[in-house]
Amino acid sequence: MEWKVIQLILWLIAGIVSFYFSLGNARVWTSIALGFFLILIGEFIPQAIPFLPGIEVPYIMAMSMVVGTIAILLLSHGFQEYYVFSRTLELEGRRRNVYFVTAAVIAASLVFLLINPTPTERTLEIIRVVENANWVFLSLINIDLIRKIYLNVQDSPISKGFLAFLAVFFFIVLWKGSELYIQVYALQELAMEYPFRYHFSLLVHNVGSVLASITVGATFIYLARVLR
Amino acid sequence: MIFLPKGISVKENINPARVNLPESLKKLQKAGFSGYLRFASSAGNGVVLFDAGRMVSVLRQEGAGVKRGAEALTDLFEFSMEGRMALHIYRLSSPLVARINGLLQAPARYRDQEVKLIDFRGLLTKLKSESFSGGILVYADERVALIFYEKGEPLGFFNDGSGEIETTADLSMSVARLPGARITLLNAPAQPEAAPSDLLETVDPGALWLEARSRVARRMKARQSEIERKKALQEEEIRQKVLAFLKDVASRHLGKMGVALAEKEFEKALGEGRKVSAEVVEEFCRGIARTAKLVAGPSTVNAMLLEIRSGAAKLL
Repeated sequence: MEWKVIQLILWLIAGIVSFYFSLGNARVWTSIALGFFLILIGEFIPQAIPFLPGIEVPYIMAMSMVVGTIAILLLSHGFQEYYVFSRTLELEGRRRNVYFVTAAVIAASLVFLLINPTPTERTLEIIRVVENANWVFLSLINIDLIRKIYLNVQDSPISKGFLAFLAVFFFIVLWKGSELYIQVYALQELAMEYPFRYHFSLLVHNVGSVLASITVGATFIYLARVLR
Repeated sequence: MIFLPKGISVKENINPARVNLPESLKKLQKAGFSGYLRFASSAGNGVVLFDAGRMVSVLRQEGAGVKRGAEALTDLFEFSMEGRMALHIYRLSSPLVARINGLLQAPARYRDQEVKLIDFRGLLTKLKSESFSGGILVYADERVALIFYEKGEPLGFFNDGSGEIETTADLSMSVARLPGARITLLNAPAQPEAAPSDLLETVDPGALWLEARSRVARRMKARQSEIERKKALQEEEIRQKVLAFLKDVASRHLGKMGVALAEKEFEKALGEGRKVSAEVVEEFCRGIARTAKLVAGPSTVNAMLLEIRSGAAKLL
């Protein structure tokens, strides 16, 4: 079975689990769970293209990458909220607002794409680089944030969940970082010249994606068991 | 010396807190009253002696200390206002008052000697040989007798229920025979002072009354603030106990974050100046249930709430 199919199935499961988790839990989890759910849309519509005929429309490709970027922004926001909660024990906002604001940002992004020229191959490539760069650097920041959250909630029932999130973001860094590396150095075009670098990066990208999807699904299943 | 025989009862067991004492003293003065007012309390006694309307002596005794005159009268007013005393009024004949007044001024030679431990007959012989003048106060429980001596000879007796100096010794001696009977031997001048001055002419009972009132007010204020301080300490103690309990339970169910959550939610539930109560604990439970959901599941939270509710009920 191809890497893309495995990734698609695993992220589909992870996305469904995280979205289901976002519905029945405390407000602070909404951004985190919704962020992981958006990975399903943002990342795997492009992955599913070979299996979904007629989806090569550049707007859809561009939109999926924008949603991917929104996903990591939402995740980072969620972990920041949890960190603030773990420090101040104060929590504000409503779950409904998170859904509305996320939907509004996605809608605004769509409008932005539609009022601009049809994305070319180059535009899509730049959007993809921006998305991956966001993922890599925000994931690194999230790793530090989650480490701090873990220290704050160390011996609470949920603490192991944050260790799992550390693993999730580690795999995401591998997954997105290797793709960014390929993009920045255009290794796809230089594959003949640098075969090891290209193939190793591609392997790391695929393995990272699979492991990230498995850990996301497993983490939310674990959290659901602890919190419900 | 404050234990005097009762005399002829005019009024007994009055609560002096309900009496305007300066006015009452003026009335007794106007009525030419002879006798004494006895202020009794567990802490000490007081005597106000009247002779034909003249307030001739005021004494207050507390423990071994004796106060006289205005100072004693202020104390009696003060303790009366506080409801710490019972007032008894007894009528006596003027000569008896004069004799008692002499003794009230006298120093005690022996005080509170237990009769069974002394050679009573030997003492009487000794007093005779010394030409003793004064009085022997004999008392046991509530019964009191006073034997007056002059130049070594018994002059007369003052027994409970009598307003005169009597010549029969039986009752006095029967008090001496009661279990636990004690005597106090008082020296006195051979002749009582001819006409002691009227203290009502030299002191202003109204002013003393006001002074006593302000003292009582100060003391009550101090007492009130002491009560409030103790109450606050007690409440703080309960608060600390309950908080320690809540932190302990939260820590066991939620880890160290539970401790912080418990502190925060407890402060929130207490709000401004609220005392720890079942309502506060209930509010705390609602608050911590909301925030604990972020770090633990419902079964953990419910088990914690159950333990908090049952444990806190025992502490309150």
